[in-house]
Amino acid sequence: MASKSWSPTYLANQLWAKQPKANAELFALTYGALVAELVRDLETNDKIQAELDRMGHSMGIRSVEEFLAKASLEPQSQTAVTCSQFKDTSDVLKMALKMFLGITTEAGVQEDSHFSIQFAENPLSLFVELPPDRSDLEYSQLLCGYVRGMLEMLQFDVTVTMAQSVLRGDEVNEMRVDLNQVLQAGAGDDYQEE
Amino acid sequence: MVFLHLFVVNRSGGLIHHRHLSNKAPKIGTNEWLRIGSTFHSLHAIAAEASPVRLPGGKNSNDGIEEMVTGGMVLRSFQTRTGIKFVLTAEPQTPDLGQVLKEIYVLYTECVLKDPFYELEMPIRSELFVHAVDALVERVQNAVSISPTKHR
Repeated sequence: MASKSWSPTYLANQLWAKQPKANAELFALTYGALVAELVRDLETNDKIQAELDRMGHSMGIRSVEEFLAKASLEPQSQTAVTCSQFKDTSDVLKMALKMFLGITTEAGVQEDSHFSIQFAENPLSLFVELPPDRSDLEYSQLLCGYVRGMLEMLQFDVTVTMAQSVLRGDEVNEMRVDLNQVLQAGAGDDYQEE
Repeated sequence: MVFLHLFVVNRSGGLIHHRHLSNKAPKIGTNEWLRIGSTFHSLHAIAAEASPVRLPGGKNSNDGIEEMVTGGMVLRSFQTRTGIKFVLTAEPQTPDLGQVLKEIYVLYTECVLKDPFYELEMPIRSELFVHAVDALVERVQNAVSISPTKHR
């Protein structure tokens, strides 16, 4: 029992409970309007996705701080998760996604340099059916940029893609995070050695 | 016990916010503040490098100066995972500085980062943030003065 109440899931639920909530329809419709506008303005799916990715990135580099700040106020935060390898990051990422989107995610692949997380519900694509001429569009690319921005602030250079997407006919949404390199903060290698 | 100053240093050592929190605080000009901010940033980095204890991988975000105590004041620093330093000075014996800093970090994320016109790493000129910090400081000081025996 005691160990259960200290779990990452418990902490994620605590954080989610304290977040202010927005109307899910307003949220989905606002995002829909945004994507529709981009579809009108930009021609190719690649350009649209690049723009969504960029927007998500600038959101991610800001909201990672909110997650860290609020999580560190929770008394359980010190013991809930310790990241000793890159793939442990997925546990923390799942907490952040719960906190900001309220979605429950499942761990997918867990390898040394990449992991994936799966989620059935996607609050962004509540009312969406992709038109035939846009059937390859990755509608939720914003989420990928978002995760990329968050991890970038923590010195992880990653590539994030949607490996599976319900909108494109897959069973589940699956986001795949590949680690390119760990960026160095602070003094360079010259100063590290005697 | 009184809080004296708050300053915030970005990850490249630039001062992005500074203000006094009470009338007791010594008056310091903006140029001096910039110097204090970058000097503290350097000392913090040196302290981290000089630490004899190394965690595996050679990195430890908790390294560096956390607290400095002198006869007349105590300085408490909190560095976030993303490299921003929040530093608070106060009169000696002031309790809970670490907790207050964590709450200031939350206020920063709420009031500053959510402003779409705020650019990261740039000086903070958010009135919302200033008011929120004032309210927090007042709340903490009242809470302590109600139970003065608790922390003596």
